[in-house]
Amino acid sequence: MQAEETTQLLLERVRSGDTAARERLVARYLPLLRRWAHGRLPASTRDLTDTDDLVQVTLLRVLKQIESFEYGGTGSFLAYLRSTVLNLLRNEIRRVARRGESKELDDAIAADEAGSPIEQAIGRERLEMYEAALEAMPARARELVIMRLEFDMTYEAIARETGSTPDAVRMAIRRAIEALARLLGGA
Amino acid sequence: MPRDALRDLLDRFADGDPVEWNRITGADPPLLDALHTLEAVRSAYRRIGSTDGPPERCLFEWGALRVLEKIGSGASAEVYRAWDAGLATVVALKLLRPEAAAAGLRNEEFLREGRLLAKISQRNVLRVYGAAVHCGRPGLWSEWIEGRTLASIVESDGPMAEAEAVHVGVELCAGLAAIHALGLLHGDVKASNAMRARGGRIVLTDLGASGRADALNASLRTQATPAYLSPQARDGAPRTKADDLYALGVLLHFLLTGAYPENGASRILALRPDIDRRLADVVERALDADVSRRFTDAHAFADALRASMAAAAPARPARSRRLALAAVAICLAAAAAAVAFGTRHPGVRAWRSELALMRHTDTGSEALADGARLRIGDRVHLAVSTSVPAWVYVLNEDAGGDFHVLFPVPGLDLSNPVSGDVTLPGRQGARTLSWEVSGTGGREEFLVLLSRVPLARLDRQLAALPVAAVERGVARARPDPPGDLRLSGEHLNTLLADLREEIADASRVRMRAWHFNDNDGPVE
Repeated sequence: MQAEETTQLLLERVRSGDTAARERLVARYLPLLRRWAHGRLPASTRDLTDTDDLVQVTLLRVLKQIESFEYGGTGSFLAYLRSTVLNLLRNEIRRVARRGESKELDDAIAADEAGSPIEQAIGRERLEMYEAALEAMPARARELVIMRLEFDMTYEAIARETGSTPDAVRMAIRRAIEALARLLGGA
Repeated sequence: MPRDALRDLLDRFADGDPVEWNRITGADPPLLDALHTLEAVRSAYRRIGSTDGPPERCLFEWGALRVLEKIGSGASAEVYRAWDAGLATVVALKLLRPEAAAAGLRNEEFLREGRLLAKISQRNVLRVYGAAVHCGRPGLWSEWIEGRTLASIVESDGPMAEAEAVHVGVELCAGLAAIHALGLLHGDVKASNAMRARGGRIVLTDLGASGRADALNASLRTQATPAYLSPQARDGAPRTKADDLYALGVLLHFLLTGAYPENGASRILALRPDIDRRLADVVERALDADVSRRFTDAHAFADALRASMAAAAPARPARSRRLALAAVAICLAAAAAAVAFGTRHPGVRAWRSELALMRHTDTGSEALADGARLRIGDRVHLAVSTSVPAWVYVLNEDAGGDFHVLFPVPGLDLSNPVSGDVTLPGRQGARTLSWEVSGTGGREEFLVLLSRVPLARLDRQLAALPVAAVERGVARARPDPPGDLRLSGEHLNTLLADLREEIADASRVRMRAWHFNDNDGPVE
């Protein structure tokens, strides 16, 4: 039965003070979020900040404030965590960038050029367009795309997460990807 | 793009299957670029999650890159394969030679160009990750492309078919448009600077010569390849976008003929009389000595290429075959004796497929077992069931070495990829077809390949039939075919040996052979 525990159920248990449920929730989300965060942190900040710490602290802080979090029950917890960590990372990047002003020329150039892996993969402008296109999507579609493309979750895992079936999830994701591609393509 | 093709593309993308860039025309470039972006995002995240570690040995370190191997060397630069730990992937690194840097190409200029190139994120342009100076050496690093240059494709496989060359041309136009939109020039468009990546993506590479027109003209003019120079550039005029487009015209001429224009004049129709006049005209216009008569920009060039194909008659005449297509009513039989491919492969969404070679009988049809007796006049069809879109190839050879492609064949209602439950060869108009055994070759072998991805090399081989291309290969040494398929047919064995790499991934390509004899008893 434990494998079938949805995030919603776990969150309810965490709310009622179940520490074992909290541990299971952390065990479920921490690896996903850590890996994701490594994709979003520039090379120049990767050695200055312990990303893993940052992610863990964020997750625990969110769980501490769990009473105030309105959980929609459609997988939005992961999307909420993603946007929280993304905001923290942006602050961190700005902080490190300010500190880096006195660096040697070569290093500064390298720092300027070496964005996060995702930024390098598609370019800064394209990444901004991608984030803007995601923001412009309906929340549910956005969450499906994030779970599939960024967190590389299987249809089955997403179905468990969202209380749906793999077939329905596959259909919804195909539509969401088309919508995102059209937004990104400017259509 | 047709709605079905788009749906299929999105299905495959959502499922995590590789996008087949060679299967789709650039009719909706923004959408294709968007999918390319999404694929880049997904694969970057996957790499981060993968356990691939950095290689142990390296030649030297350049910034954060571990330089692994020198792969090329030119007058002003050297190209290396390197490991980028941040991206968890192999990258290409182009380092200016210290002499070149000292000879006046200023580092700042080089870095500025590199950063501009890094802004380009378009599927037909090599993705530049960045530019920097380390250890006094300016360098530029980019994605590493697994694939072949167009030069080597033409060299080994011969000139391209019209549709293929047009597809490549349209894709390269899209790449040039992205470069030109930033006010940059490529500067060295040629067959060895364009690649077909694994999966079919067409990519302009070697952006090290690229840059703003003034810098390019000041410092790198000598790098361009003479055969690709426009008359204006040969006369020493400053280079412009028009010179990139002229070079693309030369490149298309080369793809279609394997040769270059002579004194600037197209030789396409002289060398390939079979080429559609309209396509030849497009290339000729791109090569016009008068720049004002050429295409004004890459978009106009691409539009003209597409229009030339839209006008051309798509169907080739069907190849003659001894196993003739015959009109016959097909009764769908329960595939009781179907051969199931049940193996599951980790990392690939479960792919269920079944193949059954069926013989028509008075009362319906029966599945043929390997080694069954096949008689003249027998009519057979292939029942295919696949849970994902798949490319099917049905090949046949007899004891006399007669080799036939039974599927895909032009003019039928079925073409690759197929999905769901289908019966091959399919229908022609209102008639349902089957294959009829009409010769007395003795042994008959059927080979069926079923693949989740298009098999570009096989497609090219089949497009080159009849049959000289296959026969030339027979004299070569004959390595064992993959797996435990035992085939006697020389053509089939040669073909399989040639396709070894393309069909090696058993999670994507499945094969099945049937051996028949029209005398008594099974084939040895």
